[in-house]
Amino acid sequence: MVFKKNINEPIAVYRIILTVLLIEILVNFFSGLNTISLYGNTFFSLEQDPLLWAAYYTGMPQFIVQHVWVAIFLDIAILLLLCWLVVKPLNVWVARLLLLFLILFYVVVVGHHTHRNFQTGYIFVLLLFVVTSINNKQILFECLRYFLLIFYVMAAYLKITSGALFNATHMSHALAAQFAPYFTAQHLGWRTALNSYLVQHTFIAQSLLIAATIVEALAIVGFFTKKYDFLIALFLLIFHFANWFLMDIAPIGHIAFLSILFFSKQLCWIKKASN
Amino acid sequence: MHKLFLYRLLKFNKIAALLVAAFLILYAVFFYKKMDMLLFPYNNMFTQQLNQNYVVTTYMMKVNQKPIFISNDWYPKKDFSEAALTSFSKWIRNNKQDYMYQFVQQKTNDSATTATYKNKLFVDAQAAETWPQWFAEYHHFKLQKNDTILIWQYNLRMDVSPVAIMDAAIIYKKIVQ
Repeated sequence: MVFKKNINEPIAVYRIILTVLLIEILVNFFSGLNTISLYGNTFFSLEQDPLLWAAYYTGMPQFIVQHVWVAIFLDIAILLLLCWLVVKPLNVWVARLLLLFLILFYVVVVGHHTHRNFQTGYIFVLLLFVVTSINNKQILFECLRYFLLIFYVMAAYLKITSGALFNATHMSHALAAQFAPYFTAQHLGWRTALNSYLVQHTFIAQSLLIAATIVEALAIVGFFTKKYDFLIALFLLIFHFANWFLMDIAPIGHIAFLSILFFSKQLCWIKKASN
Repeated sequence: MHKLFLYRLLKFNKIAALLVAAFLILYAVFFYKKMDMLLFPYNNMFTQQLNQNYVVTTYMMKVNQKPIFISNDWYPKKDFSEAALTSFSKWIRNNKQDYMYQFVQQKTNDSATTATYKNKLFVDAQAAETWPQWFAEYHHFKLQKNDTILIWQYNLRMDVSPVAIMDAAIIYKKIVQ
């Protein structure tokens, strides 16, 4: 087994991934989900997440939302460091500092959000940039790639083994809860009309769940070959955007992470062992 | 064998390989014990059917009878507002106890020890009293003294068209001081 040395790293690919991450962070910040806006938020509720337990036990997230200058510093630091990293993606110390700040951002947001969503993608994708050695980067990339694949395959596995796939009304029940605030606010349109239609037409809703499970299960191909990573990533991205449209669950925080599958060929330098 | 990632990792760095193997074993154990949410930041991806009868509960905050429409916001803020308001409302309905409070109480069996975790693992009930005001201001409501903040709970019947409000009730009321 040989790791190719003195290789030209795919700087352009790094910049694309980091730019996608930057756009996701900006969408969060400009929508009002940033630590400055959370200043004074006194309510949090933790789920089954030992990372959150450990972080909140230290009191750090609570300290951040109770001190406005710390919150301002955190938000500005994240934006500046991320912009710097887009320009200089090989700067590991900037990446490491940014990783630390994004972990802080993650624990603050998720604990006060009271529900985990895709924000973890911010942390996972940045792991690729915190090591200097090309060999370590290679290993980290493959670990992250397999984690991403496992995530989707396990989602498909859970749907099959839990019986959700074979329960004709499962998807329509899931859809029923997704647009409730829109109905309460009388914020109606063609999306809520489609949601109502799918809730009442269980066969069509369940067909969509089966299609989604097939797309998730497709990720298993990635365990055997990297040739189809681009296609797998494309299908998964389509799945996520369909999810956003149909279930109002946006993959913001996950797109940059998913993009490592898109650039699998460029990020992979491993050569077979020469005899 | 040479192509297998774990084999290559073992040849490259034994400690890293052991960590990955430990992770896989731990993950398998958690999955087997149906604790799939514990280790990972992702949820169970809608494998569990959470409601049985198409009746969905949702919450809305009103300031001086004027509703706060969270659905008008961009997705990240809307999602945050919806989850936080739901969680706060359930906390109010559950006598200001959440999952972590009950978990800690169950594990410690001692109210004095439980109290040491207040505002560390679960929120301090007194401190959280200001949350409704914060939420209203987060949605650009300028609050004044004697303004009324209400949290309404709505039960919606979702399998009919149009969607019907089966009942509605005020679960929280606060007069701004």
